Amino acid sequence: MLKCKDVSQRASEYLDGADRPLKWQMRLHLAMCSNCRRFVRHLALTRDLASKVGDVESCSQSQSRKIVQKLRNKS
Amino acid sequence: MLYYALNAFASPGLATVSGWAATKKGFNLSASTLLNADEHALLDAAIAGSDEAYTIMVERYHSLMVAVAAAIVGPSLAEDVAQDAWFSAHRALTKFERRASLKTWLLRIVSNEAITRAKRESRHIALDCSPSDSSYLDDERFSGNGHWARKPSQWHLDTPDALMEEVDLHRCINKTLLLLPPQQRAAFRLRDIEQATFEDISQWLGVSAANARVLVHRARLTLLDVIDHYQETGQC
Ligand SMILES: [Zn+2]
Repeated sequence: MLKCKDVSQRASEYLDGADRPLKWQMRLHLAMCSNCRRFVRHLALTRDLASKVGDVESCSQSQSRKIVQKLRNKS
Repeated sequence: MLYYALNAFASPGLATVSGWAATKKGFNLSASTLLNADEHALLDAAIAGSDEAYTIMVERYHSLMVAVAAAIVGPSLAEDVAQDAWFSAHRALTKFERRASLKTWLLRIVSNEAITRAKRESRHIALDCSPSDSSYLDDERFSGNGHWARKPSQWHLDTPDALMEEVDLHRCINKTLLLLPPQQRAAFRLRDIEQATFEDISQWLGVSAANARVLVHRARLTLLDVIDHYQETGQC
């Protein structure tokens, strides 16, 4: 039987699609434990929000041109 | 301004013999057409010697390649390694069979480049081992028997829509992403933004799939902590 601490450590695995035994163990625990339900829900919200608003720095056009220029000079 | 013929910028140094023949075909493609072009058209134009095609590829993938390199050799050498990877990619472009996507192919190249470099500089590729990273699950969270000692607090913003409206929170998230250790940052980006599989992530970052999962989990926990704090204080 999983403890809350185990659930907190394996929650991402569960959200990312765990294998069957873990999935069932997690579901069983979550059915009985409102704290872990809340934690897993918060983690899912976190993941979904960050994947939407996470502003990954991208390379600007001028930077890119410089890199391509270097590539030319090198070849 | 972007609108010029491709081969105006093609130099003999970059174009292969077959590339020159292809240049004719790409002659009428404009830079703005290339921006919306599919991967094959972009690759064809690059092989034909189009600087514009290369620039678009670099704009699209360079920062991701730097992130992967940083996870392996550390941030100080990452830019250098990524640029070397472009050079390798450029030399191998005509041999790229296009069974995988361009992104996958480029990430494989930068990963190999970084691993080689890490060996040369005798840097160890070790998993970030900082248990204090995530203060959310610190020692006081759980009692000795593994139950919550400090329970997850309630959020007043607890729907995707409510969270989407908090512009200040988004700023906090982005600030936090910049501060993550390089391995976590790359793993998070590959998984949660690029939606890559753990199998691919583990290959690109040179860690086991289990460790790739750990890295992603840690990154999410750090972000969870930020949101949790924001719910309480309205600040980062
Ligand atoms: Zn529990």
